[in-house]
Amino acid sequence: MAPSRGPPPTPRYLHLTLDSHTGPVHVVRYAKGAAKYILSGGQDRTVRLFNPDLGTEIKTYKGHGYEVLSITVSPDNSKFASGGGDRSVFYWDVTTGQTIRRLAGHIGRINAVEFNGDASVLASGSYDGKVNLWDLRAQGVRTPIQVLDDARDSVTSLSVASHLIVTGSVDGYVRTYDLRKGELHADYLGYPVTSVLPTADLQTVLATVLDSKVLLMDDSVGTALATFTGHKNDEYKARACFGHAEASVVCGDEDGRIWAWDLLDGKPMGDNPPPKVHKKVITWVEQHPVKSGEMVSASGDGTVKVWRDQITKNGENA
Amino acid sequence: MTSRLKRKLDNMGVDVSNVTENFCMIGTPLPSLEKADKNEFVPVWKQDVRDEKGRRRLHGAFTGGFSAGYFNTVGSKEGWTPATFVSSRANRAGKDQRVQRPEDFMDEEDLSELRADQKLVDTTHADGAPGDPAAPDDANIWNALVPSVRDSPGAKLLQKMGWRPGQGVGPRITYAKRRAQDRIAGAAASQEGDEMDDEEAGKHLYAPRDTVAVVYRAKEDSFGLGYVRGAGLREGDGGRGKKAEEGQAISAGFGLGALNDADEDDLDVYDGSRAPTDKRRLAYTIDEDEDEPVLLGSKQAAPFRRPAPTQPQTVQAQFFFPDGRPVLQGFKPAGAPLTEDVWFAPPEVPEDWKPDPSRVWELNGSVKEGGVGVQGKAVDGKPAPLRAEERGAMLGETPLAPRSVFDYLSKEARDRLQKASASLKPPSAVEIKKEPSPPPEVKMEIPVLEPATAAAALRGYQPFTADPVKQQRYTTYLQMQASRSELPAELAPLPRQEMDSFNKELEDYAKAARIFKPASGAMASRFTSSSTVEMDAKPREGLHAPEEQGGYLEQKAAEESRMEVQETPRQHAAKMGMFGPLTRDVSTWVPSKLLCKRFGVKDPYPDGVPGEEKPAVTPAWKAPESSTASQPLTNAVAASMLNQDKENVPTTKKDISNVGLGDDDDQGRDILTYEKPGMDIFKAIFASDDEDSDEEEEPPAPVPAPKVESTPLKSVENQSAAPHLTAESSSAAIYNPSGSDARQGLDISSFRPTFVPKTERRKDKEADNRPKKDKKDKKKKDKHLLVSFDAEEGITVTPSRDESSKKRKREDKERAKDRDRDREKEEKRKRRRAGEEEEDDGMWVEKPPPDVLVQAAVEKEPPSEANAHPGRKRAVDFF
Repeated sequence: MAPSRGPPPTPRYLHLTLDSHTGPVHVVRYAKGAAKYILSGGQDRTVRLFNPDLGTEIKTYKGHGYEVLSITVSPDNSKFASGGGDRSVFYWDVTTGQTIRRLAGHIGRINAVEFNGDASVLASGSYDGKVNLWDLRAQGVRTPIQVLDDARDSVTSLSVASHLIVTGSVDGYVRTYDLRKGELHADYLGYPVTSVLPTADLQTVLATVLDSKVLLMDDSVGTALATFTGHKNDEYKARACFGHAEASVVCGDEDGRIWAWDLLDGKPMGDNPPPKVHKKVITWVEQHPVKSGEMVSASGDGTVKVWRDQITKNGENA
Repeated sequence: MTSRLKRKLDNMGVDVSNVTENFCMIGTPLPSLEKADKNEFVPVWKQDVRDEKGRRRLHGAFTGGFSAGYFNTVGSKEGWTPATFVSSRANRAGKDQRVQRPEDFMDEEDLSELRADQKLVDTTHADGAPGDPAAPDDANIWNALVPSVRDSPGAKLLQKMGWRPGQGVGPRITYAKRRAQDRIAGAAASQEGDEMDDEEAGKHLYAPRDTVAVVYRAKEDSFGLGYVRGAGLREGDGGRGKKAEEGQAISAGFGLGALNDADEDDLDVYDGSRAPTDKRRLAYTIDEDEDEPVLLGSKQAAPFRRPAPTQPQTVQAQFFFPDGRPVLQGFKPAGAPLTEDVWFAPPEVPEDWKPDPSRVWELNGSVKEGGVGVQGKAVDGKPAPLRAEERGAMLGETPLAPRSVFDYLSKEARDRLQKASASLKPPSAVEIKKEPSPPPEVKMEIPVLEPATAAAALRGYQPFTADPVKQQRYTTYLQMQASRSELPAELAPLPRQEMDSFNKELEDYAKAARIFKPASGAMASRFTSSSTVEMDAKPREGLHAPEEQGGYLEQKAAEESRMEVQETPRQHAAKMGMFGPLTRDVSTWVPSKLLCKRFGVKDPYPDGVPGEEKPAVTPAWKAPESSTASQPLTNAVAASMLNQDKENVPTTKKDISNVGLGDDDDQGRDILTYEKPGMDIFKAIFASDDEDSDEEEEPPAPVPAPKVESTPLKSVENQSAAPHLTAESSSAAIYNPSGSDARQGLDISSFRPTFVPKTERRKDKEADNRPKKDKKDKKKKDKHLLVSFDAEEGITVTPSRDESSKKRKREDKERAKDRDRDREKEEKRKRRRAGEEEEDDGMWVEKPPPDVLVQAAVEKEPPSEANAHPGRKRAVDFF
C-alpha cells in the first residue's frame, strides 16, 4: 500500500474467537519470527498456546499458582517467560511445557516481563516497584544482575529494546533507561502509565495512561508528539500497540472497543466510535509482527479474538 | 600470590616457579572482601539456616542443635519414606503394643532432670545439716538458720582454735562436768558414758557437749496458746499405727513368714511409694534418725537400725467392751476417753417468724430502685465494692475536671444529638415518680434524675445556651434534682404553657442532663476537643441525599481546583499536556557491567560512575606501553616489570576499598579494567626471531586455518610487503601483524597466532623469493631449542624430549658461544611451550620479532636480565 494513502487498515474482521480461558485473559502475544502462534495468559493461571490461523489450542502450560499477567517469547521461540501473581518469573520451555527456571526475587505480583534481544536478560517489573534484570545465561544465579528501583509505585509495563529499557509505573512516570548513554529519563505523565512500547527507531515511546489517553512521547526531549483520545480507559490496564509498520496506534478500551488512530494526525481510523467487539475491557491488543492484516486482542470477557483485514471463512462461521 | 596472577604470568611467558614474591610484607594476607558472592554456589550441607535476626537456627550435632531430617529437608536422601500400612485388625491393642513409659512423655528438660536425679550424691557433707528435702521441719529450719557449719568463716576459725565438729564450744571440761552436762541435756546420749571407766575418764579433759539448738515450732493453728488439741478419733491410736506403717516396707516375696522378723535383706529397697516426693533414691537413707535432736555438727554415728519389729498380728489380745461384748477383731477399745467436739445448738426460731426479706432490706435502708443512696452498702450487709469516685473522695483526691463527651462535639452536632434524644421514646417508667399534686387535667410529671447526674450535668455542657430562658429553667431543674428539693417557683409552667408541653420540656431537660452528663475522669482524659468546626449549619434528618444544586459535581470540581492549588508545576504541566523539560528528569544511571555485556552495549562508564571518586589504582599490567614502550619486551622485561610492580605495591594507597584484598590489590578489578598487554609481549612470546617466518603471518581471521589454505596468494602478497613494514612499525614500537595494511591499527582483540599446516608452510617458503633459509631455518629452530636447553642446563629443568638430539646438541654447543645467548634464552621458554605443537604435522606459526626489535632486544637485554634473576648466577656467567 502506498504511503500516501495512509496507514493500512486495521484488521477489523473477526477471524477466530479463542475462548478456552476461563476468566479474563490478561495477555496475548505473538511468537517471534513468522509468528505463527500466539500465547495467551489469563486469570485461570494457565498459559495457552494457540494457532491463530486454525484456532487450535496446542498446549496449555500449567504451573502458575496465580493469574498470569504477562508473557514474553524468546527470539528463537523455544522458550518463553511468564509473570503473574506468584511473584516469580517462570521461564518455560515451549516444547516440553516445563519450567526451566523460576526467578524469585520480587515481593509483589509481576506485571510485566520482557526479554532482551537475545533472551539473555529478562526484565521483570513488579508491583513492588522494582524492575529486576535477570541473567538467563549464567546458571545457578539467584540474584538479578541489576534492580531498577526508581519507580515509586507498581511497575505496570515494561519494554526492552536494543539498548533501552522502558518502564511505565503507577506513579505516572515513563522511565527510559539508556544503557548506551548511561542515562535515565523519567517523564511524568500525570496519570498511572499502564503500557509502554518504544517504536522501532527507539525515538519515541507509546504510553497508555489512565486518563483515557495514549501518548506518543519523544524520548529525546520528553514532549508528547501525539495524543490519541476518544477511548475510555481510566481503570484497567489496556495495552496499546502500533499497527502494522507503525503507521497507526491500536488500543482497546474498557467498553470492549478496539480503537485505531493514525499515528501522524492522531485521528481515529474507521468508525468513531468503533464497534464494540468484546463484552468487557480489552486488556491487550497486539499487531502481528509481520503480517499487516492480522491482530489479536485479549479481553476480560475471557476470549482472545483474532482479527483479519478481510472476511475469512472462519470469521463467517463465527 | 594468587592463582590468577600465576596464570597470567604463565600466559605471558614468565616462569612462574621463579616468581615467588608475595606482596604481603608482614603477616598472612587476608582473604578478599569480595569473596562473599551471593551467587556463589554453596552446597546444601554448607548452607546454614538463619532466622530473621541473622542468628543461626540450626546447628550441628556437636554444637547443641538439631538438624531436622536429611540436611534439614526430608527424612532420607530419597525423601520421606512413606510408612507402610499395617492393619491393626489382627494386631489389637495390648497384644503387641509398645509399653509406654513415662519417659516417652518427657521433654528434654524433664529427661535431664531425671538424669540429674539419678546421679550419685556425695553425702559426706550432709551431716549436721541434712539436705534432705523431706526431712522434718526442724532440719529445714536449722538449714535456714545456720547455713553450713563446714564452710562458714566462724567454723573455720573455731577449727583453727581446736574445735571439731560435734563438739561444743568452749574450754575443755572434766569428765564430771561433762556428765553433768549430759544430765542437763537429758538421757539422750548418756549411754556411752556409762560404759566408760570412770577413773580413766577422770584423768582427761573433754570437750563440752554440743548445745542443743532449740527449735521453736511455728504456730500454725488458730487455737489459743497452750491449747492441746484433743486426740481425735483418727489420732487416738492411728498416729502410732501410722508410724508403724511408715517402717520399712517388707518386700513381698517368698520365705518370709508372718512370724519371721523382717531382716534388712528383706526390705524392699525398690519400693518407691514411701517417699513419692523424693526423687532421689538412695541405697541408704541420709538421715535415719528423725527424732534425734539436731546437734550442732553432731557426728554421732547413726548406726543402721533394724526396723522395729512389726507387731505379730496373730498374738492379738481379745478385747472386750465394758458391757462384755467382744471387740471386733483388729480393734481395741480406747484407753482414754475421747474428747468430743463441742456442738452448739442453733438458735431457736421464734414461732411467729415469717421470712420477709423486704424488712431486712429496709433495715439496711438502701435498696431502692435506681440504687439511689446505695453507697458502700449492699443487701447482704457486705460492703459493696467502692467506685472510683468514692475511693477518690476517700483519699481526698480532687476530681478531674468533669468533661462530657459532648464537650468535644461541635455545637451543631450537639444540637443534632439533642434533637435525636428528644425524639426518643421516654425511658421506662421506673425513673418517673408520681408527683402527689396533679394539676387540673394533665398531671405534672417531673422526671427524676439522680442527684449525682444532675450535679454533673450542671457542671457539664449547657445545651440551651442559645435560649437563655430555657437555659435558666434547665439549670433550675437540675438544681432541684440535685438537691432533691421541691419544685421551685421559677420552674412553674410558663404563662401560656400547657401542662403536657411542660412535662415534655422537663423530660427534655432530664434527657439532656443524662446525655450531657460529663464523662468520668478516666474517660474524659481520653478525648480531646475537636478543633474543626462543622460547616453543616442545619442537619437534616433521614438519609443523606445529595444536594439539589448539582452538589456532587461541584464539589468534585472544587476539590479538583483545590488539588490544583497544591499540585506542583510538574503535575500542572502534565495535566495540561505540556510534556517536555518540565516533566522530565534526566539522571545518570549506571548499568551494571554484566548488563552491558549481555545487551551487547559498551559500558557507558567504563571507569566508574562519574560522580564517584574511585581510588587511583596503578594497573598492574599497564606499564608496558608507558614505561617500556620503546623497549623490546622480552621475558626478562616482563620479569622486570614484575619487579616494578613490586615496587609499586607499597605506593598504592591503602584505603577501605583495597584493604583486605590480600596480596592482590587489583582483585576483580583487573578483569574489569583489563587492558591487553602491549603487542611486544605477544611478539616476545609467540614470535620467533626468524625474519622470514613473519611472512606466514596472516591478518587476523576468525577461522584461520581454512583461510590460509584457500589464499596462499594473499600470504605471498603479505610477505613481500612484510619486511619493511614490520621494520617500520617496530621502530615506532608498534607491532603490526597485518603487513598489507600498515596504517590500520592493530586489532588487539582479534590478534592470535595463526595455524598453518606444515605443507602449506612449505609451499609458502617455496613461493618465497628468498630461499636462503628454507631448510636452514628449520634447523636453526631446532638448534635454538637445543642450545637453549644446554645453556640453561642445571638451572631449570627442561625436559629433553628428543634423545637423538643429543649429538647435535654437542656440536651446537660450540656454535652457541658465538650466538646471542639472551636471544636463545627467550627462545628457550617459547620452545618449551611451543615444543609440543612443533612436533605435530601442522603447527602454530609464530610471528618473529622484526629485526629492529630483536636488535633492540639485544641491546636492552643486560639490565633486564639482571632484573630477571637478581643475585643469581647462571651457567652463562661461568663461561
